[in-house]
Parts: sequence; C-alpha cells; structure tokens
Amino acid sequence: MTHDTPQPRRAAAYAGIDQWHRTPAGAAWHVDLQPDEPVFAGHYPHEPILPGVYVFESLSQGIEHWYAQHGLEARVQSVRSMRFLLPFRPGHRLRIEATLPPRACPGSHPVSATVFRDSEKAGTARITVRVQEARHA
Amino acid sequence: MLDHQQIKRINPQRHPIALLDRIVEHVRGERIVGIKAVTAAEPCYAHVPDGAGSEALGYPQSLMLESFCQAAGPLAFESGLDIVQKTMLFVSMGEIEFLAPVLPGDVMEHHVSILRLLDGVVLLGGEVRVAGTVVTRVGQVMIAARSREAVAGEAVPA
Repeated sequence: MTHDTPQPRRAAAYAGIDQWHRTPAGAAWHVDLQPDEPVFAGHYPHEPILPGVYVFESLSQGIEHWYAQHGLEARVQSVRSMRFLLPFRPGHRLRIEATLPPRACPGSHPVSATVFRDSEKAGTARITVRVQEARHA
Repeated sequence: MLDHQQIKRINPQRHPIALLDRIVEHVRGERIVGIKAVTAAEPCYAHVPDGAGSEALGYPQSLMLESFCQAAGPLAFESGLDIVQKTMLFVSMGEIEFLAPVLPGDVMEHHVSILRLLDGVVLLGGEVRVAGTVVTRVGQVMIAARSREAVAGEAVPA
C-alpha cells in the first residue's frame, strides 16, 4: 500500500495529514496531534483541545489530495452536516475514512466521512465538493 | 462596541486562534456583528507555495467558521450562556454554503444570530459578508459550554 504525506497546496489552518492512502471506498488518512501544534497554545491556555474546525480542515485536505491525484482541484462547496463526538488532545491520532465518488471528474459531488480518535468513532461528516480542472499559475 | 481586549474578557480563545478583531454591532439577545480583517501575514499563509495560483490564497474555510463562532461569544454570554471559565466545544454544524473565497485584504463581517439557547448549549446561524456580499451562509452551528472538569472526563454531549 502506498502512503502519501501531502502538504496543503493552499492557505491552511495546519498541515492536517501525516499519512494518506487509497481505500476501496475512497481514501483514509490520519494526523498525529503533537503537543507543540501552535493552535494548542490558544485553544485553550487552560487545556489544549483541537478546535473542531481543524477536524474539518483535515477532512478538506484529504479530499483535495484525492482529486489532485487525478489532476483536479476540489474545494468544499457545502457542509450538509458534521458532528463532533469526542474532543481531540495532544497525543491523539485523528483519523478519517472517506467514501468518495467512484469517478473523479469536474462538477459537484457528495462525500461522506467518519472521524476516529485513535480507534473510537469521533465524528461524522456529509459534505459536497466542487471540482474543476486544475489551474496553473 | 468591543475591541479585541474586551472580547478576550469574554471569549476563551487566545493567540494564534483568537480570530475576532472587533464587535461593531450588538443587539442583546438577538444578533451581533463582528469583524476580522484578513492579511497575508497570517500563519495560515506561511506555506502557500510560491508557484501556486491566486486561488491558493482563499482564507481557510475552517478558520472562517472559527472566527464566525467566536463572534457569537459576547452575544451568547449576554443572552445568558455562561462561557467564562468554561471550555467551548463544537457539537455540530450543518447547512453551510461557501459561496465565494475570502482573500487577503478582505474584512469579514460575521452576522450572527442565536437560533436557540439551551442549558449550556447554543445554536447559531447567520452569514459572513465581505464588502456587503454574502460569501458564506451558516445554517446552524451548535456549541457547548462545558465545565473544565466535565471536559476532562471526555465526550461532548449536546
């Protein structure tokens, strides 16, 4: 199995993927939350907890990477629903398993995902992504 | 209205994730308008590749949502939600539409309303505007204010 370590290709809250790989249903990826992740200093000073929006950030990056492998550019167009069941702290592994469309092509496409904290289910997401041909600077 | 230091007396977030510059309008119990200026000097732009196109400069949707929710802090507090000395946690979000990117030089205006306020939980909705244009619609975001002791014991109940 080939593992990627993609870096964000755009402005990003943080580098939300340590390892990424394809699965039969789409893709899976994870990030191991380090104590020196800058956001923890401010969220919160009394107790470091990953902002829920950082889970969304990691989700977005993983989906974008899948489409980038097909020469396409993807951005989240809408969030139909996203639930956060467990908080993430330094030392936790944030893992996401995403079900992606069978074909990567331009247009608007639904994506669903399950979020795990280590081995526990920590959230769910149903979003729509807008996909277009990659542009070059 | 409220400047950044006054906001910090209510909201628990601190640098580098204190993402609200000013409250410019506040109707107690109803709605609030907070603003955040976006600049290319922010940490989120530090690793944009030199060869990337301008579309790479869109302010992260994740941080836009975080900033939006922080604008709700003073509104929720004045409406009776006790957030001082509490840990604020995302419970859920939905019906969110991203209509246009926000770019360096833009000033985001977060127009936030309380949809419901329950015991320790607030349901928010509203819009993000730039120069009068709606760039994001937020159908609903649910945030819980939990005691620090309760959060130390784990799950995020609604």
